[in-house]
Amino acid sequence: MNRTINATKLDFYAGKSTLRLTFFLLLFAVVIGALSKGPIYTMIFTMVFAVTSSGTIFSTHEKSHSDKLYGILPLKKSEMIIGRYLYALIIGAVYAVISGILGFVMSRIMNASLDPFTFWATLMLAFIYFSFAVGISYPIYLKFSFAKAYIFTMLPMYVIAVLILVLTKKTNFISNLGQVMRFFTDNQVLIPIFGILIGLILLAVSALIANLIYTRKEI
Amino acid sequence: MSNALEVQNLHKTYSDFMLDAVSFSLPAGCIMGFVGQNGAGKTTTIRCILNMAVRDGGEIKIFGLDNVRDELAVKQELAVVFDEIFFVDTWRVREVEKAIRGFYSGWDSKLYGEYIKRFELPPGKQVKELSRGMKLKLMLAVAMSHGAELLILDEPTSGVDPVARDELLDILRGYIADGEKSVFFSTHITSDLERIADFITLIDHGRIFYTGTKDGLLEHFCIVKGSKTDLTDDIKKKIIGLSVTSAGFTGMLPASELKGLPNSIVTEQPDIDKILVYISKGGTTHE
Repeated sequence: MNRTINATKLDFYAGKSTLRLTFFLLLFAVVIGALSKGPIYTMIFTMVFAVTSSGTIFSTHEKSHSDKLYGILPLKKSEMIIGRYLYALIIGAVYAVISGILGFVMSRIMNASLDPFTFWATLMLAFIYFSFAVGISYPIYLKFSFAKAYIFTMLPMYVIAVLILVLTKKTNFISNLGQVMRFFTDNQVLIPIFGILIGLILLAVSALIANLIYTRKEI
Repeated sequence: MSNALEVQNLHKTYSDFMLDAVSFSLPAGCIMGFVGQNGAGKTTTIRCILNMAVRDGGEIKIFGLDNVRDELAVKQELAVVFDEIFFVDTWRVREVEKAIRGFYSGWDSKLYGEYIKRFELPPGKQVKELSRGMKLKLMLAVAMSHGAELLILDEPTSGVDPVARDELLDILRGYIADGEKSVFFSTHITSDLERIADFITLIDHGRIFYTGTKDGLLEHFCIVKGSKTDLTDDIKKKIIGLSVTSAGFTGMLPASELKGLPNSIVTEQPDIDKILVYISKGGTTHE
């Protein structure tokens, strides 16, 4: 466990150089929300940028030949993978908190209505998107390297679009959506529980796949 | 004398290259130079030793421990310096320690601080701002701060000026001074090895050409030069890296084959560089 935590710490040390980028991304999310007069857009874009922020760790490591560092450290490949996903989860959690704070503050400043249901539903859907996007992109970066696979960064968006298309065409998804909305309106406390649970499941499945890929890969 | 590193019958096959039955051993407390031309298999061998590349066959033991089965324990005892720095380029010299120290049970912050001072590394400078020689020293400072018993260097002096190379040799001499630490030094700058190595392993096209003491290597071979008329079929068969011009021939022979050569053939002692050149032209295995 100690080695895994050290691996996560190593990622945070490596990711420190992207703090300035984080600041600009958050500023951009605020500007988008202000222009569209909708705090939920700031919340959504904050979580979209969390994906970018957590992905740059691969770019930083590749630029610094960190594969060699990981090759010499007393660290199992699986521990490095778990450490990397812990890093992503912490980034996602921090951005989710920032997203929530920004949404709340902006709704007050702009005097825009942001009821608890919309707030939690937006935040949790954005967190699920984050987990889904990280869950797809991390194994791809590990398999093909960031430089080669960066083009696939938008893949999660396409996958979601296709999924929605298939669900609306092949199932009575839209009509059932009303029922789902009613359920969560009546049980709002379940929104964050479901959101976090789905996000964690997505990340855990992705971590298992990433581990299979990385342990077979020569570094 | 126990061995710090033992490689037995190592095989590794890629589509365009293979390591073929690579075997050698490095006694504890010694420096071994690992020499070969570019693409000979030096880095692949080191990658196998570090389990960065998965071996297809053979055995690698470090202080008696299997490098795969006991990987974590082995890597506590290993320090590695590569030809290019592998720390994040925006880290400052003092930050490198913070990122790395947690991984090593034997990390000594005081020692790291001493090396930083001794190597005159500015603690506030970012890795990317360091010169090639300073980057090498930073890797050495990290490598030598956790009590590692075996230091592996993979082409560390490529692109480093002669002054920094000379400093490196002094650092290595100091490192092995206690008689317990060992160094495995891969390079194609053989003049460094002539000054420091106790043992030499020569690799060519994925096969070990020679492994043994440095003095043994230099005594084992002789450069021969003569006129074309001296070049009999018998000599041709034995000669390594034969080169024939209108002026005559030149090549290398095992010292044991010198008996019975005509007096008109001139012999001279080779250096490691010349041996490397001749074996790259063609040769067989010698131990």
